[in-house]
Amino acid sequence: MIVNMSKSKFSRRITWRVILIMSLFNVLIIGAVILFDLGMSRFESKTRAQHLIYGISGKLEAMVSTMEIAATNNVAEIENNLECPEKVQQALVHELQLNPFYIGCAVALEPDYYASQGRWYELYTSFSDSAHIEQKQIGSAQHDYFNQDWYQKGLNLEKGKGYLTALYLDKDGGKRIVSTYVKPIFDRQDRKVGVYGIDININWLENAIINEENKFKEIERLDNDPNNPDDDDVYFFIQIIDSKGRNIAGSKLIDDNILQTILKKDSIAFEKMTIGDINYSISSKRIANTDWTLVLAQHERFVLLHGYFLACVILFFMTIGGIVIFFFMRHSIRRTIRPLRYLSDSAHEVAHGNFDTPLPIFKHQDEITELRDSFDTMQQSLKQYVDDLKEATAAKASIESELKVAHKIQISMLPKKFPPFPTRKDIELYGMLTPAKAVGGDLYDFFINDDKLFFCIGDVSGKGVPASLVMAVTRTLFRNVVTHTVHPSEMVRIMNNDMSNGNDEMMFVTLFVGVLDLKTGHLSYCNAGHEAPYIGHSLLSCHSNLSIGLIPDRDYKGQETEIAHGTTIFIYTDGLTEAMNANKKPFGKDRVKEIVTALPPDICPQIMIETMAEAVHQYVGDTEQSDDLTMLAIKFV
Amino acid sequence: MKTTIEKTKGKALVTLEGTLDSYVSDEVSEKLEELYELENTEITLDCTKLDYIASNGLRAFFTLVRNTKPNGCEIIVKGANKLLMEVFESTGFIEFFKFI
Repeated sequence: MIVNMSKSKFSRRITWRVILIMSLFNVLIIGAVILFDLGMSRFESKTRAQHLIYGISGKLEAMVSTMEIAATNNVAEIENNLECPEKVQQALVHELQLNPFYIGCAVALEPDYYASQGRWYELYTSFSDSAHIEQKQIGSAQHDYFNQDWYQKGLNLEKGKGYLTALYLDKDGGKRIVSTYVKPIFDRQDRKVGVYGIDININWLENAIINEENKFKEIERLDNDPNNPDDDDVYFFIQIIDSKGRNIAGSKLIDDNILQTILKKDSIAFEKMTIGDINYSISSKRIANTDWTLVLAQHERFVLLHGYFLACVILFFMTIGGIVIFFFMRHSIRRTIRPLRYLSDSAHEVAHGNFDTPLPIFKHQDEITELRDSFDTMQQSLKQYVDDLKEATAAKASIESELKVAHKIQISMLPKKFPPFPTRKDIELYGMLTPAKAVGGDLYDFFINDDKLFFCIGDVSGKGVPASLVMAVTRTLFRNVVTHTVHPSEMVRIMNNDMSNGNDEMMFVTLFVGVLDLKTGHLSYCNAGHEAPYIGHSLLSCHSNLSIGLIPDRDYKGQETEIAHGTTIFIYTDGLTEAMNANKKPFGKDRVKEIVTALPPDICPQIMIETMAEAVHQYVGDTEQSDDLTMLAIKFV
Repeated sequence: MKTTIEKTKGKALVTLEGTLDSYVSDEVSEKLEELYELENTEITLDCTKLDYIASNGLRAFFTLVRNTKPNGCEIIVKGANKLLMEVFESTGFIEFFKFI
């Protein structure tokens, strides 16, 4: 069985519907996941920033801490030996020996502290090379340290407090860029007498920063276009600035716009700020015991990098997955729907009359199989129904053909040749009989014997086959009875006796029998329950004997009258007067009278009958004929 | 066509409504069969609402006469209209019934 798969609208609809709903859910879920991931990415960046900041500041603060300890010890020693400059000198040398990674240390005293030394006294101790320590007093008018930042700062400190200065060029002392850790020196009277300082270099800080930055350089490089000098965004940088915004270490990228914002706070967790036209997320922390702020900046794109990357990966796999699922689903659904196609084709076959088409069998016991079984039942019913119908139709056809034959038999019983006696000049006859069904219960008959016209008209009760049987019997009786008698009343009496026997169904016949002497115009007649005929324009007066066939051994009364020459006798059955139109109103005796009296009393029988027939036909219209219609006209010329 | 039969002591009333044509005559005949067992009963056929009677209808009436007269029943036709009376007259059936 060939199934046209490509045109499966139903499966297509289902597939798309499922895909649509799935996609909707997927989009929602993926959207949520990506949003979440972006959030996580952001959180990760923030955490990374915090981690790095605390890492570096930790190191710095640790360094400051050790310096504090060393300085404190040294200061204590110096304070104990202030009055003895040599001891002070020794203390400083000792300090350096203990801490070889310092550049140098110094004691700077208030003006004129050592009277013998003069106004300035700054004893600077440093490594001349890796082995030797040199010491000299560098305070002088040229090196007026009192106004220098480190001295000012140191002097302002409270007892026990220390401070790490910003980087500066120590022209007189270390002759290089250093940072100094200063502490105030107090005498025994608790008066500030000077400042103690340790010079250190913080190149390690620079290296540490560069190390961290390098970890992310790769990503920066990938994203930036080497051919485009404008596309050189820095993704990640660390910078240490002092309270005046001067750079201590790291990339010099923080601009004035955001400088103040950063310096205002002790720490910034993770805030968006703009440098140039790029958005960075800034994290910062002020280093304790210094003037410094550690700032870490991450490019917006870098922050969300993780999220973007994840989004791309997910989208890629979703698309692949989506396509795969689509094809798989479509195929799967089509396969499931296929049985419907098979059933549809089978149904078509059955509809074309092929009742024996086998319906496909499906593996699974599901609704499809139920449907198939219903189809099967219907198919069997149809088959049965059609078979029954064929039988009934055949039976009907057979009955109809039998009726046709019966009709022919009946018609052949009636005189049908008109004019019946063309050689005779004294009589004209015309008759018409239209049964309501194939066969009817009306009859008329006539024949001439001995110059006498014997005629009759009859109406069997009912119509159709039952009436037609009785009609046949009646007609035969009529023909027979003439051999016994020529008197109408006697004829009717004998016919009645015969018919009353063996008539359980109570079928009766209304009958009019007449014998017209063609020489004299004398008419003897007997009416048994029938409509009175018209003699010319007037109704013949009739005695209403009982219709024949009901009660045997009855006497029937006959009558006589004279018929003038040139008179037409018109006899009919009640099919004429009872002809119904669409409104169920009968043609009626009055109309018959109208037409009869409108025509001349010697009217040609054929014309009389045809006129009447036409009138009835017009009156009845399309309504089905309700009773057998029979008319006989006899003109006594 | 409606046929209703009411039986009381010694009397039966048959009410006929509508048109007694050949289509319904069998049905009516069947209904009238329940009167066949009656004896010495006065059966009234109320034809006031009967519009028309066809030859098969007359058969039904005659069959009723045939089956009940021998049991001593009398059939009265009540309220027959002009058309009905004409039919009874012309067919001679008039002699079987009493008319009121």
